[in-house]
Amino acid sequence: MNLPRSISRILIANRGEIASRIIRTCRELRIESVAVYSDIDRHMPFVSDADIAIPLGGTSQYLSGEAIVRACIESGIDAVHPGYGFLSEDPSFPELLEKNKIRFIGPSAKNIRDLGNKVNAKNIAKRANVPTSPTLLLQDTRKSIVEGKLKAFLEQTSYPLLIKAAAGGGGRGMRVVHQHSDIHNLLESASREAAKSFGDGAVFIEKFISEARHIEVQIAGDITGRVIALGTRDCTVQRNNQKIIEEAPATNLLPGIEAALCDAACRLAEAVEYKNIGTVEFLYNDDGSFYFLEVNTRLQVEHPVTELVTGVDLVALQIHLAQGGTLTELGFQEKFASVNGHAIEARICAETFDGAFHPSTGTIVAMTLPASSDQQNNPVRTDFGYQPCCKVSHHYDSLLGKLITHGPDRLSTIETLEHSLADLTVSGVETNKTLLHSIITNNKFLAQKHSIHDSDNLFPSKKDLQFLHFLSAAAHAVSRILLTRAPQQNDRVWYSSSPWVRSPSHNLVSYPSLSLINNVLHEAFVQLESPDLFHISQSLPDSDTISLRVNKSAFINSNTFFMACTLDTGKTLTANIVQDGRANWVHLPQGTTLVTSVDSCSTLNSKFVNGSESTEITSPLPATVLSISPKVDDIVSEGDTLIVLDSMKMEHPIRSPLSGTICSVEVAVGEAVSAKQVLLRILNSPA
Amino acid sequence: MQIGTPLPRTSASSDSHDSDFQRHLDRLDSLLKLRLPDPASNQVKKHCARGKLLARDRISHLIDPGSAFLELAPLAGFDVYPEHKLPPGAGIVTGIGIVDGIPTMIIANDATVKGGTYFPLTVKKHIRAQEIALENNLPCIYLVDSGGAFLPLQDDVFPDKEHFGRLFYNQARMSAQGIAQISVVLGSCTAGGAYVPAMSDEAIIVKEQGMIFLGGPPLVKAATGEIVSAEELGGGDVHSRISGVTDHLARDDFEALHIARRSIGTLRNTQPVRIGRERSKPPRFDPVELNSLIPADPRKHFPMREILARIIDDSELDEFKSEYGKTLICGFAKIDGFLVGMLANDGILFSESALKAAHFIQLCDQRSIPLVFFQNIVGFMVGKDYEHKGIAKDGAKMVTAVACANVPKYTVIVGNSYGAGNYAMCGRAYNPRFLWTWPQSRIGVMGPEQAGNVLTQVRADSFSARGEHWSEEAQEAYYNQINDQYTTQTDVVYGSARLWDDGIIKPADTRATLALALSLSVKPTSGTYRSYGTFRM
Repeated sequence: MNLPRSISRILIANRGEIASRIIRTCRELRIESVAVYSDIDRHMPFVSDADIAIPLGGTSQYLSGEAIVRACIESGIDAVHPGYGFLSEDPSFPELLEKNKIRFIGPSAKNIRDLGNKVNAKNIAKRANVPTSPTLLLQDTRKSIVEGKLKAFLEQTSYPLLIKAAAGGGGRGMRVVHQHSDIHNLLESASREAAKSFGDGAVFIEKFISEARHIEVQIAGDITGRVIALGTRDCTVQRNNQKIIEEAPATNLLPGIEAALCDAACRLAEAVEYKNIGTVEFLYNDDGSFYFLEVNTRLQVEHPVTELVTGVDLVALQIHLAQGGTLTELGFQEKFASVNGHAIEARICAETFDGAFHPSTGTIVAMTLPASSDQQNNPVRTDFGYQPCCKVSHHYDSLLGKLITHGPDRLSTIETLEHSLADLTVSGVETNKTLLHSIITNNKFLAQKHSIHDSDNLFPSKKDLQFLHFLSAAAHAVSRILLTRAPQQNDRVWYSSSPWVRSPSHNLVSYPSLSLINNVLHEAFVQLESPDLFHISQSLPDSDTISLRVNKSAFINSNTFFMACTLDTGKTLTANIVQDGRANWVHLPQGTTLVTSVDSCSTLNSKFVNGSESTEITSPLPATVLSISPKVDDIVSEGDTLIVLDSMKMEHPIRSPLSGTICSVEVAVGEAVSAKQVLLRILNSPA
Repeated sequence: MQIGTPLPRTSASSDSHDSDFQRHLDRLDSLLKLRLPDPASNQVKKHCARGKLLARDRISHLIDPGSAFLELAPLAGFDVYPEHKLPPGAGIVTGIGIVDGIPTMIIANDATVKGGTYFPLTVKKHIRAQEIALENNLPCIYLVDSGGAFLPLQDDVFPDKEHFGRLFYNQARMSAQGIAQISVVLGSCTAGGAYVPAMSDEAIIVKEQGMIFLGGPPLVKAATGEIVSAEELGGGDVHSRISGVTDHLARDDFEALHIARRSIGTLRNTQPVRIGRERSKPPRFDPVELNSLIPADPRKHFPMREILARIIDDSELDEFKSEYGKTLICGFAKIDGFLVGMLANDGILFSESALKAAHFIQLCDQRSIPLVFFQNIVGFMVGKDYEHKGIAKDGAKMVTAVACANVPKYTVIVGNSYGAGNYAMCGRAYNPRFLWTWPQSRIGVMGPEQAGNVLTQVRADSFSARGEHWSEEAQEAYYNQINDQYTTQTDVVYGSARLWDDGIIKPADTRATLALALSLSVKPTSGTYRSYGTFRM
């Protein structure tokens, strides 16, 4: 193929934060950027950031090679950057581009094809002398076909096993099997999810290693066949098998391991003459052993941590390599690039956590990002794809953006992250801020004693959440009192010095301030302790009472409200409250909570005193119904899976909160349901 | 001068006061609880199921969230109509709240109590609220959700001067004086009730919920044979689109209340200048100590100076004529920063005390200083010496001064309020802007024992005049009957249920309550011509 050496216009076949990120480098390299966008995404920053923006229509066109190629031809570009996800690891896409004489910024179609299939990749690894674990590939997961193969495989290894989609990554189609009785069900659901996400239902099974850490190596290869390693990353903290915290470099490894990993990664890449950048993933055991997992033939979500410690712009490197440049030209003399300090990334996702994870959708009403450096001048990078007024839809991944910090060592970098995370506020959709805060302040994480499968232990405990919810309900109660006449504040001077500022003796009624958090009712009792101080107390289920004090001299700025809360321990926190209709987003350093006002007696009545004995099971999110297990009059037990929903390319099983009889099923398989829509009703069994 | 002394830390007698007084507080709390809606009751459930807010919740959405609500007569109607089981409050919530920064009288029907119909005391409570609005220049918001007059008691609701018709008379007169009248029709509004929105300056109605008609569908059918649905006859759409009876059509309670807030917001230029306030200082002693200062036995000394020390700013009282007529304390003080003239009983009224009061009241009137009366009075001194000296004349001077003072007056009955002492100390008949009572106080022409003695004596005299014998047992029975009757009728709850006061308040809340009321006082216009200067009495 004869292509011009220099790329001057790039189309980004992606959306969100990664599209914005690629546009930034394009701008620095004086390359024109072309964005393509779906209807929902028209207000996203990447659309306005790009020099040219082309509408694709619909919602799923990011996955359509043809649509992208049409946009390429329309905009007259030289090259396409696929970002991650979507078409980035589909080998037919670079082939399609090649047919249309468009350059693909990434490895060759052959690279992608060879390494994209995990089983094939394992064979390549074996040949390149990279350690692997036994694997069983299953094109078809039907019981009759699987049975024999499984038996043979189980002679080499034992439960627990891990099922993975052969074609994809990101935890989709991944299942842990602890006992033989579960395997067929889990194989089928994994295969179904894989088919849905990647268009290929093939899965493979391997040994499940629970104590392992996820370590990966960033590699880069050029047309001369030279491959270098750009350091390691530790992506051990995961939820639902998706990375949420990533660090570079991987620390606390046994001596010599880092070099061994980098070396193995390079051997593998050299074996396939890998061109452009990629990531080789390994499972690492405490004893120093490691196993090859897979190769990601694209730019990773977590690439910024590598950029911060190596000082290399990986997108610029991709473009350089794609236009046929060599590594030597860029001054990479050594096989292993040197790293400086430590970097850590937290993925900010739109999701709720109430023990399980559900995507959260809606419109962002307000967002504040932390400053670009901390007090010690350590850099803080914010790669965000959303801005206020953007819709977070269930059609796409829940990643809103990333917070990345860089510092001299791991602990100080984590501390910087903790502070900048506290300053980050997103209102309008729920985020995993609470979860992230819990992880990065957990001692086990700080001591690196965690593994990929026990991230649950780093998640906030029930008690942590309860305390956070108390604080939020208290701040909410005070804000209801203080957010009196915003935004128009005529006569506030008269008002603030007046006896009419509520005194305990002249409350309208003796109800406490009521609010709902995650559908749990909170009753906060607010008393004016002195003219400037509120005292708020709340009884906890375990009959403890907790209280805090809030200074009345709060600062109000349009729909946002700041106030200082003092705990009984003397610790002071700043709460930041954003009004959103009848609800408030309460931001505290340790997390964000959506608090909805309850209009005392009236609402209580309509919401909670509804004489009916049947319980409505509602959809936690907008989704499509994938399967329905019980029929009307079936008896179900607490914890039984009732319905499986599909949203954001993930399966969400809806489990029964109680034992009882199904009295009605309100939806059908394939039906699109909205959040809070009633799915079915269960009649409580008499105890 | 600073008054008051710290309470001895462990005083056995005050402990017994405290527990005795706690009984009164507990009774008040339990009665106040009865006025709140019971979430489990069918009426409340039905009301909420229609998407309607409860009366108090409506008010909480109407007033600025940070503002207090000065509720009036919360126990009105309690135990007055035992056959109808009317709960305290008489089916209407009235009180003053701040709406978009403007103090506003809110009159809200509670449709969960007898369909929001008007009992005689509901009417009285409604009219009292209008009177307070008139005196303090407060715009009125009527949250209408009422079936009109309670028909079984029509003779006590409809015909008289202070009955149902007065509601609309007051609306017209207030509107004429520039006091805004705003109605929010949130439910039915039938017959006479239809005039509440019709007589308002601005009326808001909730779609498919608010109804206004002079005669409802059954009455129309009976009268003319016309068959019409309620919505068609007088629904929100009809009145906002066809009849023009209402000005705004709201989707629901929330929107209607929001419109009412916006409406009040346009009254800024009509607001009167209210009296000034200086920096507030708390009393030097904890107001909660009041509970242990009130003697359990009403015949025991009532430490009025200690009481005042726990009410007024910095416990600072500039006493007037402190050495003269000592049974009445007169002096200047501040309550939450508002300068007032205090008059507080410290014994029975003698001629000197009455003269001193007349002088002091004239002084305050001349200086436009509001008057605050703390009543604990069994009456004027009686006996030959005093009658000869003309105590009636001196009492009359005080009563005249009280009646004619133009400054706002506020009365708190902190102990007993008997006989002419009630008049002289600005009882209900002397138009105090507000009158509150403490939970143990008693009001009557005389105390139960005294009444028992007096009436038994009178009757014994008439027996002996006729030469008949009246047995000791019969005398005792008669005494007990009178004593019981007076004990019941002088009980503060009996009076509060009949609107002889604007509410029973806890001693510890007195300062805050007075401050709310004082903040509403319109600044009296200076330079009013008086025919004489102040008389030194």
